[in-house]
Amino acid sequence: MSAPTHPSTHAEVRERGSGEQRRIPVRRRDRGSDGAGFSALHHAVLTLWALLVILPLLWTVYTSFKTSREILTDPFGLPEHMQWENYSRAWQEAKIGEYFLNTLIVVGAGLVAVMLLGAMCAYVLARFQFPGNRAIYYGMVAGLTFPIFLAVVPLFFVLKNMGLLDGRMGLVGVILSYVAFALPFTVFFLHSFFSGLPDEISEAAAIDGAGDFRTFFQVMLPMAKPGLVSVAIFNFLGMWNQYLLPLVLNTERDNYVLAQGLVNLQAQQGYKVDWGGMFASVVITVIPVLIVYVIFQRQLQGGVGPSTDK
Amino acid sequence: MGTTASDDMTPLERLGASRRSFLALAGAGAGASVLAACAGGGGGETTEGGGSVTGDGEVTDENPLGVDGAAAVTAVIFDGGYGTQYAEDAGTKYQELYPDATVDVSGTVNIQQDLQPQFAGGTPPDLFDNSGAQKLAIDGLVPQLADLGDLLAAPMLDAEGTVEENLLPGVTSPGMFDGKFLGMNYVYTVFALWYSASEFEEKGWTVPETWEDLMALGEEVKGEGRYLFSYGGQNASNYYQEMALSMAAKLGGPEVLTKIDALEEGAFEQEAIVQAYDAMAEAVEAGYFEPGGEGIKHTDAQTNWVTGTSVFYPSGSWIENEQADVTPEGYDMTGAPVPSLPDSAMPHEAFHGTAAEQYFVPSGGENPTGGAEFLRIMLSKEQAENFAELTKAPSVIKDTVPEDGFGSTALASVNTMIQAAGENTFTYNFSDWYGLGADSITNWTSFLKGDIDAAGLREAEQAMIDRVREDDSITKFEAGS
Amino acid sequence: MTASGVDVGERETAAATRGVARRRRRVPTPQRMLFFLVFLGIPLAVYLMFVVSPFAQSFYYSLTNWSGLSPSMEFIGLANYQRIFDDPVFWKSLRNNLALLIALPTITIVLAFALAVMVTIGGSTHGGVRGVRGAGFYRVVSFFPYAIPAVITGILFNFIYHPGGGLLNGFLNLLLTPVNAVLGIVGAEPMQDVGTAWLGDQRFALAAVGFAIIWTFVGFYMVLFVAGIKSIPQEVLEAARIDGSGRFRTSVQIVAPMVRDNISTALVYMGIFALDAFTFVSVMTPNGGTDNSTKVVSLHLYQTAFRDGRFGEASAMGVMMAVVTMLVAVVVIGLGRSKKEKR
Repeated sequence: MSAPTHPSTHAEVRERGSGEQRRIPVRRRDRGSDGAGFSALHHAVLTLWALLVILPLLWTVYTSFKTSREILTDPFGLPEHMQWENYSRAWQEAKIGEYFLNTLIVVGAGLVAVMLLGAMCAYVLARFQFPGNRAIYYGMVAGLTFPIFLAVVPLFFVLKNMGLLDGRMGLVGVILSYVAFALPFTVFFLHSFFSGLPDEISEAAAIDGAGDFRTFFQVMLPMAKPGLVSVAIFNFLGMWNQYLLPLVLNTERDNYVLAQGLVNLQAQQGYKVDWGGMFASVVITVIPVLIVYVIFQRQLQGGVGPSTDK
Repeated sequence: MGTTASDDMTPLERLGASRRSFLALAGAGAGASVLAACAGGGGGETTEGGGSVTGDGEVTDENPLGVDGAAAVTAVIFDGGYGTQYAEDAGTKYQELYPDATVDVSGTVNIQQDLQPQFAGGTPPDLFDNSGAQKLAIDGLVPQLADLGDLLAAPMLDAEGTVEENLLPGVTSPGMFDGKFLGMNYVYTVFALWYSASEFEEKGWTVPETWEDLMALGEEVKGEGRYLFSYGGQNASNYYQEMALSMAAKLGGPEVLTKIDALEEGAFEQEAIVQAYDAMAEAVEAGYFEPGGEGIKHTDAQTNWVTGTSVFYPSGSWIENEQADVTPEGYDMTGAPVPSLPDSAMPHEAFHGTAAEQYFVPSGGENPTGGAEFLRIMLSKEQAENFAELTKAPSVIKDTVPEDGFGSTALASVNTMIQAAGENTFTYNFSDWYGLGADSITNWTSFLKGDIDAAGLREAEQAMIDRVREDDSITKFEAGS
Repeated sequence: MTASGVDVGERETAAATRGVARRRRRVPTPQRMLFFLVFLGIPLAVYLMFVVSPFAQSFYYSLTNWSGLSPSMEFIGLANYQRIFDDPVFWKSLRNNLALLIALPTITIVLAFALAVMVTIGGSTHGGVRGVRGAGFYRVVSFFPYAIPAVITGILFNFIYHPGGGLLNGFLNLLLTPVNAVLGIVGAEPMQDVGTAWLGDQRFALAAVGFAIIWTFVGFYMVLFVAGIKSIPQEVLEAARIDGSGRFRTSVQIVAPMVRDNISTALVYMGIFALDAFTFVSVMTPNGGTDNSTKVVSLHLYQTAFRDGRFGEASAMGVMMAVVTMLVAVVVIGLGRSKKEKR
């Protein structure tokens, strides 16, 4: 309860002179709740929370070293012997290595494309008045509300008619679908971002003689970076974990992505489920996500306030 | 979207789904489906479905289908629970019989993805196993399939009589369409009550043949702090619907089930159904079902069962394979017919039997006759026996499993059941035909949990089939065929 | 975001020539036409082709009896919608969705916000306003649940809720031990072991599924809010503290309004998720739970389309669901806007 006082300010000095007696109890209460005790409470809550999120992840990892029998009969016990075979099975039968590359191509290309198209579209909608602007915006946002599995069967035929199902073109079809279904959210999010940017900047750019294209790419886009990064992280995860779209649209085996490999692992076993192999492939697919996140999470902290996290 | 519900299907549901999609044909009629229209594509116009498989080669006793011995033959096998070895072995045999032929047997887990382009290009395989989660939608397929009637009539490769005469009862019916036999189901499925033979021996118990005996055993088991049954109420309580309906069929004869299949009014008020459901209610009230089953899935329930929480589990003959990773050593999983109610019309040995793993011969392939001949080889005693040995599952061919079941107690018991039952088998289709598995699970979970009684359950089940009957938009199937 | 990247001088000239910019907006130059064509045309084309047109088709299917497999379909008008109106399971599913719609965003966002506040401004009062020690660690690990595929989260929670060997009941029974010891001493009947089947009991099942969803998303939104809070100028928070405002008041009265955009994004996203919830529900309770206690429209729709082969009817459900979702989005966005205008 010995929290130090704040550096004095004018207000405090003035108050001290007039009504310090009345002020003290209020301050003391505040200090009490703001002080070490409160901080300890915060730590307790946060530690509990950290356990709640770390333990399941640990569970996933060590479960990937167990046999199916151990997983089912003693789901929370530790493995008796480390089942490294789970990983070799996951790698070989689920062809994780091969599908990993495909996933990188699909997610990488899809992410770049959706961020670019989404930013372009959001920028125009947010910063230019023209007839139909609202209608287009709401039409886009409405896309957030469509249940995706209603669209997949018609979408299959759309892609088929465009020749975007066969061979390596199949990947293009999948990428375009990823992009299209991530657009509504991207536009929705970035729209508020671009409309928050002050008018002066674009006008300044215009005075400088920058055209619309240059203004966008050289001025607006860099300024929107914090927003872009947040949305990109959303989209990356959405695409990485996307399952239904590739299942229906990505029909060439050579084009399979990780999610499909995971399902293969289950289908391969027929009536049996290879629990150990399944968890191993989950670990293999989750780790890259975590690595990407840990690398880029600092970007999420972008903002203009002084960093309070040291 | 992280998953589809198909990942979570129980084997029972998968079996149902595969049969349902085939049976949906009757409503769809001829013509390519939208999805398979793309499969039809270029090759579509050159193929004429439904033609006989007998070829242009000389028809002899050794070569009843008239195979061109020099023609290449290709077979695509679903690489699922049964693997592909049995088909590769049949391919080796084909090669022996026709040394000039090139035989290509390949396995896949994604029949649809692999075969659709082949159909589209007009080069389907000569034989394929349409199974698994990614199988081809069948109603578009029908016009492109060859009639296997000649195969049924052909003599066995290595035994007396025709192929048809050597099939177990009831296995051709799922492959019939519009009076034509198009699909040859290769694996025979027996529904039974499963238990640990070693435990029964150790405890000196006998497998109850009557309901009364079962209840007596239930009391004893309860004394040990265990239960007669475990159930996975989240997705698999309909295994107990299967058990109750089997008991009802044995009590009142197969017609009891036919009436349900025909969606008759009052079908669930038939005396046999009332008695069977009341019996189940007796077991529920006596606390013979493991509590908490409403909260778990079939995998959990079956794990509880083999690890000793409960004694019995009603299921199909895939259960030994399905549980192989979890079942303790020396469990000696064994199947028995469900217990009989007093004054049963059918003998105790009667059981619910059906067939799975559907093989087709596309009429537009290079060598449909070769495909059919390949099937005839698979259906030979030798290959059927090989299948049973490799997979510990019975094929549809009679008398191909030795008494010891190749060391599998489950297979041995299935074989015993098949021998003992003779023609006394029955099956029902309403659940598969009309997709009522989900509704059945909802009803049965409420019942096993104790929320509704037997009368309430029958009412719910009757309402379920009434809804189908009164809905003109649902295509009805003819029961009892 | 501020205009920190732009010179003050430029800004002044910009203000002086604002009129020019306005006029240009009214009379588009060829260059601007091209700009619009590229910037609006390409995204719209992709969107129309791959999202709108499939949905338009499925709207058409909703007026037919298409099975999803059959070669032909008949136009049957609004018959599918009529069926849905008479379908008690649909209404129960919708009710479950609405329950999730109210609970999930509220709980998730309140928790996420509280955690974000602790991490950012919950630290000791020495020096400037800051987060607790190890804030970076908490922030990083909070995100983990979101990285685990929903299927695996579902399996995990199935094991946690398992009536026999589950962690939850095991934990509750652990708590019971001392209670029973005391009861034993006073000679009272010991309390029975907890054997609740959380996912099978109609009273708890939906909440149990909801908890798994909240667990998945809290950390994610916390990270989002942390980013928002950090963009609040330090002086504002300092000033609040100097004013004698406690942390709780600071959070609610100062921080929350300043990250309102983040919160409303989270609301919309969680709301839309609550109206879907397919993956979690179908993994944890594949058939929609005892007496359909956890069935949601997406699962009902899925079963109707792919198990029952009634794609037309399922499409009609999807259309109705899209309408409901849109209404919700409009209400949330509308509320956000009216508040913004008030300010």
